[in-house]
Amino acid sequence: MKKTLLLFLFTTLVLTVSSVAAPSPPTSTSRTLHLPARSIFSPGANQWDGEVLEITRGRGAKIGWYITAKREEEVTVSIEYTCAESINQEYQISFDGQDRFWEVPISDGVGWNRVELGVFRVRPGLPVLVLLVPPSNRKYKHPIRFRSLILESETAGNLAAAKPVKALVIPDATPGFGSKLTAHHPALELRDLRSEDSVWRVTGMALRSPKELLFTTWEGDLVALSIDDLSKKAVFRRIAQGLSEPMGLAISDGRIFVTEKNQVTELIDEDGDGTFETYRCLSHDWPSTIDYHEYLFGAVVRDSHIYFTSSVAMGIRGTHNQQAPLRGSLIKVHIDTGATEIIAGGLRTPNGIGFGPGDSILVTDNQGEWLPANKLIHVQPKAFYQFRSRPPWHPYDRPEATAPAVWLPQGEIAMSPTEPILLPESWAPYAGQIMFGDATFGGLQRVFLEEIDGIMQGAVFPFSQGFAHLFNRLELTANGELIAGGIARGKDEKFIERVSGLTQIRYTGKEVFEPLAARLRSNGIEIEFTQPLSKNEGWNPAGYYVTQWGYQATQNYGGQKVRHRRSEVRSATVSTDRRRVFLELPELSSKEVLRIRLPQSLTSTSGQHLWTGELWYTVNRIPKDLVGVVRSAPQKALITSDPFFHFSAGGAEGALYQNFCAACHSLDGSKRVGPSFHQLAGSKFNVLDPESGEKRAITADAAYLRQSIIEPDALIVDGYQNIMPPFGGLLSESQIKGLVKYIIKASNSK
Amino acid sequence: MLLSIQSARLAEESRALLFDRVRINRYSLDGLPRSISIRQGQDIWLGYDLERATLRKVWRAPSGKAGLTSGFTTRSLGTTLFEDKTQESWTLHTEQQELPLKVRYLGCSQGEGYFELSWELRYESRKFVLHERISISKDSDAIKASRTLRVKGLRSGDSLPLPNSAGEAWHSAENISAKSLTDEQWNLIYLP
Repeated sequence: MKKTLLLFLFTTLVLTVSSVAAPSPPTSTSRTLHLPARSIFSPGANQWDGEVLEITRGRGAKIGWYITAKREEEVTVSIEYTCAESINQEYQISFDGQDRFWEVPISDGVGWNRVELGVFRVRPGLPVLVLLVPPSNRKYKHPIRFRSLILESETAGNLAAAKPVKALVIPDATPGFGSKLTAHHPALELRDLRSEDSVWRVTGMALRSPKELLFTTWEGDLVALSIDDLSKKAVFRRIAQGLSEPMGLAISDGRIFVTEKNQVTELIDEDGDGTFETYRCLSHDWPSTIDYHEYLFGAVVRDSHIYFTSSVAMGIRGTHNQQAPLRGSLIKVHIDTGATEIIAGGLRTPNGIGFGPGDSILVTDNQGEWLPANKLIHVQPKAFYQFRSRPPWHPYDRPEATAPAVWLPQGEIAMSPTEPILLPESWAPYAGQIMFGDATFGGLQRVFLEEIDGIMQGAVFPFSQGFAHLFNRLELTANGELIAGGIARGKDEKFIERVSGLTQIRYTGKEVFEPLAARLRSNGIEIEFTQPLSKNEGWNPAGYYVTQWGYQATQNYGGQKVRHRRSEVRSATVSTDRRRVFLELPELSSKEVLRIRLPQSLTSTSGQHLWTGELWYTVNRIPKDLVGVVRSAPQKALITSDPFFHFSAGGAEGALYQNFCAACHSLDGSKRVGPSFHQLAGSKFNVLDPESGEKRAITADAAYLRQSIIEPDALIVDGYQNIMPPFGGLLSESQIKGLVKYIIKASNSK
Repeated sequence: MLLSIQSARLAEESRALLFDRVRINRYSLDGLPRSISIRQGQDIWLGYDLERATLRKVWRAPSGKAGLTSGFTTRSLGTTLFEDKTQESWTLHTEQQELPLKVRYLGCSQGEGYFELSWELRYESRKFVLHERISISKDSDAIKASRTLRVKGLRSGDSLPLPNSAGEAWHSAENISAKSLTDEQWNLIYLP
């Protein structure tokens, strides 16, 4: 890594400041484009004073403009602002994903100050998002006020402000078709392995032998489970204790390795009596603090090296936007010498590592600051995956991050993705695909990967919900059974008891009709099904609801979906064996995600209906010479008596509840990690204001619910933890309004 | 309820397992991310800074109470008997020079009646292994705490002076201030 280059790119911008007059109006022939503060696409949680935006809060704020360009060229961006007192964190300027930081200079108090923020490259064509991203602090002592950004280009009339894309109208959803599944996959048989007197919060799993599974727990235990005959009562045996927040377990040639809070430990049974006398520190060659959010996640062993990931701290990040050096890394340690190497950086909460195709390493990461969505990463050496704090820089930090193989949109298909595993032959037709769990969204999701021009990308499909536990770790036994270990956060003992523990999952091989894979073509996407479609089905392009968007990472929680729009499906062509449908997509664009809803009416030749009907495909690269074949639909194939999608009032909001809220807030009064919505609206209860430390009574009205969605850490309901992420950056204003309305209505329903 | 039953059952089970948290706590201590706390006798705790290979603190737990708060960020509770507030670490005394040593924590073992911590100390290509044993029981009511140290790999004539604050407070069996480690013998030192 060329440090000088990084310094050049990221050196805080403190350039010439000068007082300026009122902005000139934009003209189509001007080289200058004014973007007035008043025209940002969402005011977020900030305040207005006439034409001036007073930025008082970071989390949840969305300050952005869409622009378009006719030709590619360099653009200089400046800002007009005032700032009464310095703040301890920088602003982020995100120009179509290119980042700069701005340490806000104190202004002289006379008129408006203008400062150059950086020079960026604008691309022609699709609208480009320019974001001004405040630091994460919830509130600043003295507000920063600003009234416009000024963009200057060489070519007159090249730039124009664009209207933000209209909020999409989302079709009604049912489980597996727009909202989360609610039942377990028909080809799975489940057995809850809980015992009457044990609650295991599973943090690591590995087979010690074909007959014995070991797992670590959040409480610091190592537990053995005989899997020789699980049809009898599951017998758990604690074999070690006193581990320090272990979050990963790997076994290699009988040697046991645990990734603890801040070191990799080998547990050694010196005399072979079954107890471990030595906790050998294999490596701790990276700085750590006492931040609660610093973990080591993993682990897997390959070629005498253990691989695991480290998460970033949240405490000092929140107050000073800093990290201990090297946090957020994929780390490799030799299991004999302890020699330690940083493989990749820019990770946030990478709570899942596993092998992918060709012995590659896959990592899942959790949405949040710098991660606009969850990720499945196909790790590349020396890659940087975008989470950054400053200073000090991660050695692999660079302006443009490496894209994940698959984006896992928050609340749509993931919320806290966990360990990925490669499915074996016995799981045909899913063999070779990836399965991963989720510690809040729940269930198991399935990923198909393909390589285009050396870059991995693919599609994620909903696979199964309906489990008792929230799966954190997965392990396949020698006979292909999956043992899945659950975990729970919080302090609610009943909730912890319910969702923690192990599930034995047997794949029966029963044929289930569902989308199996999705392969990108130069002009669209081909979807493969597990069974042939019924004759004349699948040809109608109106049956496919396709949307697409890009992501723009921000230093605030929850990045931005960019250009979220409905895509034209020009044609649908069913293959001659009727196992594949090619959708012709003229607006296909790289660095975007495609979400595809399938017609719920599709049936297979065996008469089955679809188990699920949606997928999310990440377009990192569009293949150049791989054209999907378009054929004319047979007669009658385009005739349909019913519309494929309905758009009824409240339908979309119900899906938002299911996807964003249901994991933690019940509608029936049952206890989950957050307060139930049952009879919530209009009720009075005590909340804690973390800023003042005072408790006070509050009424749950629409304003309170709205604030709780945008800024959940502003007021904490008495008796609950401050763990809800803010959704202000993820949901549009109309979505938030709709969700509040839905919660009030559902809250009052019997 | 289930968690309570489990706690009782695990407490019983844990007596048969090593690294019982009643005796040894591997969470952070008093803001030190890499630390370890070991209980000696009924109420004495010794807290180590694993990155410096030094004893950070010795304290007596309040009567009838635990000596540590719960959770990862544990804090010592009770009366401080010894505390090293410096950032000093080990040096190599060789040919009338004091050379700084790099420290690498190697791990912790539990043996019959003791815990043992190990570190690698390194100066350029020269490596030593420092071992420190903490007896689970206290040798005598007349002392506050005791430890046993030895170093492997020293050349004849070289020594490892105990970091200053430790050397002043801790005494050897001859009831004189503990000064340095010079050979591979175990050296018992105690806090009077």
